[in-house]
Amino acid sequence: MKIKADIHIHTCLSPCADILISPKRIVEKAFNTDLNMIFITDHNSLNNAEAAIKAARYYPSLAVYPGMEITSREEVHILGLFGNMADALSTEEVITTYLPDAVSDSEYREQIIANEFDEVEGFCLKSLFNAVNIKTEDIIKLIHNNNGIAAAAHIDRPSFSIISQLGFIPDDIGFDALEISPNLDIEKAKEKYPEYLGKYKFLRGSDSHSLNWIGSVYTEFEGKNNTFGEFAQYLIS
Amino acid sequence: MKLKELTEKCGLETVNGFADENKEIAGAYSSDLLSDVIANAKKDFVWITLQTHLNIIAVAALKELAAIIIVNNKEIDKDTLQKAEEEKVTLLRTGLNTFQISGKIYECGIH
Repeated sequence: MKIKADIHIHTCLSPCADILISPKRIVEKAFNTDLNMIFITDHNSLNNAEAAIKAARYYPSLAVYPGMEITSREEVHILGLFGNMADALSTEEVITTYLPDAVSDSEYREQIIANEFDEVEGFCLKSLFNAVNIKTEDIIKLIHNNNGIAAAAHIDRPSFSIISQLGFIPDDIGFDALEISPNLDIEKAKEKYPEYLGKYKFLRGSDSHSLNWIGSVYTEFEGKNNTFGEFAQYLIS
Repeated sequence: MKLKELTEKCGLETVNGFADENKEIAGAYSSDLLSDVIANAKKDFVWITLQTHLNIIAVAALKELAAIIIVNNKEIDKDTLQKAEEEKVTLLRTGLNTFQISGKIYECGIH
């Protein structure tokens, strides 16, 4: 069957996301828009990933996996996608040590930690929108060392993309895939970036910051059990 | 103005020597977005940036820049230094920030 996967969804933990985009509502919306697989990818943190995974237990057709959108030293956004919480947490542990504390009440109040019942558990006290002082290549290695998939986020965006920040994608940088923003489709991406064709798969992610974006775009691939392993297999196929 | 003269006047540190100290500087550009530098810097410009990633060397070579000036005394990665040797790109460094060094270079008559 065709698996519909959204590899890039923020929750109310991300300071730039809508307050209503809670883990529980994301799961409901993803189910209602016929997605089969989603990755929860807040900025530099996993605090709301497990709540979404727990909220999804009533929806067997939907697999929810943890991830992060990590900001490198060069301010490149990198999606780290994981098959389980343990691998994701090992990555987050390193990332967190590089993040400064939130500087004000108003800053951390934008970083809401919610549980699977749509209740506020607290706030993240780290400054999540900051860059992590690790170079792009080493963040990719960190993700790989923890069995994760590393994808360049929204490569066509004029800010925080590998191309905006570094001009082009270095040959041996190690990405497993490139994500394009909802502004492009795969065909247009192939026309726009012929130099990366054949070397990388292009993936679509919604980069949802608000509930109504969920389901607007997704990556489609052939699979049977919508597992992380199948997704990883698709990337190397 | 020649690159060597600018280096002396602005108190810049030479990181890897000069590829061509007599290079006549055509202008300067300050930016940390490499895509923006590719679009807007011109041949024989000096480029002021805090980025130290390997890709800065490729951008400088592509645009035939006179030199890259790294600000805030940022440490430069080994692979960036090595690539600079290969591509014969001059790396200069200053403890000043981008605003301050841009002002100094402007005062030297490069507009």
